[in-house]
Amino acid sequence: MTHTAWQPKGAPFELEADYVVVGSGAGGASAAVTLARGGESVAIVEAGPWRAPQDYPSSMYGAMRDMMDDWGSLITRGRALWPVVQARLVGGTTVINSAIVVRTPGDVFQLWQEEHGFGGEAMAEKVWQYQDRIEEELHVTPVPLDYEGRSNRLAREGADKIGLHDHHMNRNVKDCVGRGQCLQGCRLERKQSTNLNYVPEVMQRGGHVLSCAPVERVEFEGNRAVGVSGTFRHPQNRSKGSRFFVRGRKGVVIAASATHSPALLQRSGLRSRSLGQYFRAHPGSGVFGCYDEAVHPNTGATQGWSSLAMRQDRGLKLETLHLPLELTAGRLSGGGAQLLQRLEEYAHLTMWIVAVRATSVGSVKNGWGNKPVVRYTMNQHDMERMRYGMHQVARMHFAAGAKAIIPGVVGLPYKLGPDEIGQILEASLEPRDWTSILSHLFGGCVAGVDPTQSVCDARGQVHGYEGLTIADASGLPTTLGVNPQHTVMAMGMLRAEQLLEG
Amino acid sequence: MAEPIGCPHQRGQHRGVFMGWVVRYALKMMMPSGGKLPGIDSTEMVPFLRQLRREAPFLIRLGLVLGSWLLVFAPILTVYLPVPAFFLSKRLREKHVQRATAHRFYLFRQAVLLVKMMAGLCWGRHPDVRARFEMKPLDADPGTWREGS
Repeated sequence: MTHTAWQPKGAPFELEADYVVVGSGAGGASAAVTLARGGESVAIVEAGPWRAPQDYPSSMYGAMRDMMDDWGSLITRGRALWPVVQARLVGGTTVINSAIVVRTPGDVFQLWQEEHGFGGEAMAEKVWQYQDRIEEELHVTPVPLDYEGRSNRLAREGADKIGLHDHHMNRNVKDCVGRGQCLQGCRLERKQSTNLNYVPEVMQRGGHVLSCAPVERVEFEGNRAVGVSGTFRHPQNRSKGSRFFVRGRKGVVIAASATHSPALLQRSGLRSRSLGQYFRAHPGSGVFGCYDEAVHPNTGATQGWSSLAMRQDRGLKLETLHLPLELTAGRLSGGGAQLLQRLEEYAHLTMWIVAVRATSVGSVKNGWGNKPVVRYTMNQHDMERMRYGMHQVARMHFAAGAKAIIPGVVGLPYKLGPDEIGQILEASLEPRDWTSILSHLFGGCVAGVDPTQSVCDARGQVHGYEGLTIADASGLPTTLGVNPQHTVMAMGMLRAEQLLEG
Repeated sequence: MAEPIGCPHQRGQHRGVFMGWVVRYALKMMMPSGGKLPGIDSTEMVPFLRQLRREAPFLIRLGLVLGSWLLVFAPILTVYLPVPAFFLSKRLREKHVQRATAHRFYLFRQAVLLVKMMAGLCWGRHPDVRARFEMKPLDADPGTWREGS
């Protein structure tokens, strides 16, 4: 087993493997383990450090410092400044997400076929086969009722009452005990993030992991990708260490995320008109419900309930989400004594969210300091859907027994009662008036058969280059309308399998 | 009229550059003492800021400082008085903070939001605050990582 972490300044660190995989999250780890199982030697190069569960933080401050990409400071540049949530450590965002596993809907493959010339039933069958395997390997199970927590139970009851089809989340969590700490990483090792399974397996099969190693460039010889280079960064003080160069005899697999993959290829000099284009997301916003009886939103599964009832016709996904106390303090509107007064009822609040399968399209560019610059603005159509979704979430809260809801939209009252719910449908459609985040990201290096409209082909091979494969969410040409981890993992495996086939 | 929370002349325990004092003042305005819940000044704010200064990226620190300066020195935008917040009465200061968090100038509002977010990170992790909500104290954030093997 070989793992190389930060190296102080000195002689450059050099390594050679059959394949270099940039990134160790859902896409990168899945691709790497598939290549390793196929007998190839693999080097995973990860920008962040390797933190084992005993290294995980407990507070949100610690999570921002130790796990988030640049302390979670990446924000959209557009009409509104919305945070873009991503992790930066071995395991990537699988360490800090809620471990939600949803199979890729069949209509997604149809859409890809119609609009991008690949996909269709054959790909769907393959992806679902990989998803069968992933579900077995990562212990995917529904949220256990004993540990669902009151918020998830209320959501289920509320949805039932207003006739929304719903379900418990399937998650890659083994024996969840409902600590409500998914966002900070599960210190009990219940969440099966890729740093606990696929990445160690790659090492057991003779692979090598470089952590604290942000890749600066993909190196080319002619139009063939031959490796990656960069400089080690200390995980604590961010000081520069030695240079590294990892050669990939057979190729380089890019899985650095929908923001970092296009930025990396841009600064590597890759020529493609579509590079950084067609960036998409599922923006989300939440509504608090205020209940007479304490909900204790910090207990139970962080996200344990979902409804996809409005996915097809409205492009909406409704979910629960436990917001830690530290973030609730920033999320509730107001300030001063008024804010503290509002926080007094924290135990009686719970947030449910709406995520929009947005049609809005943005872009990603490589910015100063090798940081991605994301340009993205929600269009009016998407804002209308988010508003409608928020209204539905508010209806659920009242059906579940909430005495009031807190919409958190500028221009609306702080609280709305059951008789005032209609005001939500009159809320501003100005993105600046909404508190939202982008958590599911797609595109930037999209796949397609037309080289003028895509960066890579149906197999993830970058058009016009050899030995360069895209294996993460940046290659997905559309949104999914469901949580993307499962799709990204299966696509990563599919890309790797196609490399093994030659 | 003025009811300072701790004006610049009270150097004692808060010895340091003026910039640090402004940030502390802004955080205290955002989450003041005196209500049922502890204010931020009873939640180890100074060690938190030291930690933040040591660990956070430059842009976050810069954002916090800019947001704090705006919050402290821009009552003209909220309560229409050309004085810093520490010359306002308690009632006006409260009004100023409330209006600042919902101000129509988006960038101003966002800058103030960053101050609020940071205040929340400090306040919400403190054991005394968590005890008020029957929540266990958080374990330490070890900040460790795996060395090479």
